[in-house]
Amino acid sequence: MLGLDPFDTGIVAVVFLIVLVVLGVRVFVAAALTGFLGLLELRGWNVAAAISGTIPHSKTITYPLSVLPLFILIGFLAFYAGLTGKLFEAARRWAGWVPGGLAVATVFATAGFAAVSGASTATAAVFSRVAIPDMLKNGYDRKLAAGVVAAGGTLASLIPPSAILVIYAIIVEESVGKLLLGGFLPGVVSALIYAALIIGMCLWKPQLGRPISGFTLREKLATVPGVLPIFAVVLVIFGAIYTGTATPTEAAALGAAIVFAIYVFEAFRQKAVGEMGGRLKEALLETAKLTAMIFTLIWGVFLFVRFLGFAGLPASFAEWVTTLDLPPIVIMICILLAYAILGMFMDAIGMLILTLPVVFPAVEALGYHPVWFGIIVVKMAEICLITPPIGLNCFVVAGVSRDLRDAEGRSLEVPLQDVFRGIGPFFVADVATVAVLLAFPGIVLWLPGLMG
Amino acid sequence: MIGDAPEYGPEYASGPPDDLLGRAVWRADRLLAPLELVCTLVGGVLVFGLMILGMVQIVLRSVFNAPIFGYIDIVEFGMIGFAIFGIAWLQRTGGHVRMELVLGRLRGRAMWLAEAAGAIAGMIVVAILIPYSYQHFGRAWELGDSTIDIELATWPGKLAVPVFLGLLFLRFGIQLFAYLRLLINPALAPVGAPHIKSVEEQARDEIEGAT
Repeated sequence: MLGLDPFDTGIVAVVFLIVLVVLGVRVFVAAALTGFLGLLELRGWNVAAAISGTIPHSKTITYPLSVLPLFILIGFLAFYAGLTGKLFEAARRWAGWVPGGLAVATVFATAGFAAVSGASTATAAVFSRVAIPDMLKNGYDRKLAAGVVAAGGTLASLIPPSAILVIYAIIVEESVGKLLLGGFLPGVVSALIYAALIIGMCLWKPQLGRPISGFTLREKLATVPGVLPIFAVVLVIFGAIYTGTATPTEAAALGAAIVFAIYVFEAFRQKAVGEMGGRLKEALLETAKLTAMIFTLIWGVFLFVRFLGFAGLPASFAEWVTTLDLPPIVIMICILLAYAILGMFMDAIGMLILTLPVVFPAVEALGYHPVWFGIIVVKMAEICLITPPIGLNCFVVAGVSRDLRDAEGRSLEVPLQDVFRGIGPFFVADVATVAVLLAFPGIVLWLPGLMG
Repeated sequence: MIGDAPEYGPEYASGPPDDLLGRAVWRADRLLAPLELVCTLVGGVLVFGLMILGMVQIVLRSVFNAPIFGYIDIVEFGMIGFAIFGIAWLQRTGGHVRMELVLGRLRGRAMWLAEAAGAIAGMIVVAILIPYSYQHFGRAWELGDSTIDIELATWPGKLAVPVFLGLLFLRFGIQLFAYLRLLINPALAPVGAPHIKSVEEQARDEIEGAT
């Protein structure tokens, strides 16, 4: 044994954990190992053994977490139900008449799809295929077309259902429902800021993207039935959480069932019933994999968190932060910058689970609202998805575009550097959104506040 | 896409390699993989069951004013399925979260050494957790511990933890030998050794998963 006091043990453990994670050890392994060794040092063999034997079961088997796999399932089923194409068609007929209309439509379609999916990169991948060919066919600027898809994908994490917000809620012990409601308006604001940006850019340089008009009201209304299921899912999940008539898990079950019904209906309509079973198997397998990944991460990190509590590190960090002779807003900006840097090198869920146990008590001590901070942090993590060097969404868009061809068989590829150039204005818009949310926390807190 | 293709990609060749260690790793992987896959699929089916259960619960409660007695107990009982059944398959596909900042810059022996070290760390953690989570099960078994509402026994869920961690231990073991084989001779074709993904490869996975 090292014979250090608890606080120093905590510091040594955090350094040890960082070294393991940077070296590429799986995060759950690194966190569980550090947590166990730390408990061993502070509390001895019996306590360390008892805690580490209990946590993998007790920390995962909690009802609020059961909403996660259902949210994930909704997303996978929505892909297979072909909702993306219908959404884009509806959005282009209704919003195509504004300057940069197809790009604006892409924003609204991705925002709509975000309402049935919580996966940013997957959303970007699907819409690359749906929206980019149409935009390029209509003479839209390649950089704009690629940028809007990569940026639109990030809306998925804010607009419910969002897996990452549920995870945040569990870690900081805040209401899952409040977090989900809290993400809605910032998601919508982000989408509106994107749309305003596109309209502004296309007013300034009309050649970037011209309006698409000429749809009759009948043609517009014809798209409504196809997107109704999405509104139904939104209504069900929001209605249930907001009124408290059902738990998030029950609401998600109903949402999943609606999307599943559409999926079955589409399979029959397209006479693809034979493929239905195989695709469902794929959806279930992917759901199980993603769920296992998240749950494993949760219990691994909780083992570490239990040790941190014994070491008193989060409390000490919070105390230190509050004694700093700096305005809280400056400290908050520093924290957000740290997340921006970390997010460039790490998966968003892993990053949040790993850092929040230490960072969150400090944020709370500074007087910031847990729900508000959750939304801000998730927005930061999303910005990292469109920022070099990793910017996974940009790689996804460039990757999909490689296989795209127009009617004459010409390549519609958008090279990676063009995607990154195209994303530039959206990055600036995202920073502006964060600034708006910093200045007006009410945008986040209004809806959850109504919940009471 | 999901299914057989990517999991039996380059690192999971369809035929055994020529060297002895490679053949052993290949065979061990082939023995374990179907079991891991089925367990993961069961986890997925349980999620589907959770959806149906939620539907039934809503209908019974709102239409007949008679909610399922012990609904939360049942959900929590089933949760262990999707929480842990897929843990080994996920490791086989290299899906557990990690940071690849340093790993991504390593090449050849250095990379395989780091991967082997990661597998050893995983084996240590799992080896520590298995006996203690088994004790946790043992206590529930002896005391006849059950849930509050409908008195479902908690021991099956608690037993699942050491069992599936055991499966994960075997998977880490196979990967350790797979990496050691490449550490000895980096010129060999990888077998049973999920390797680092570049951002391009990650993006490709996302694209395949989503389209």
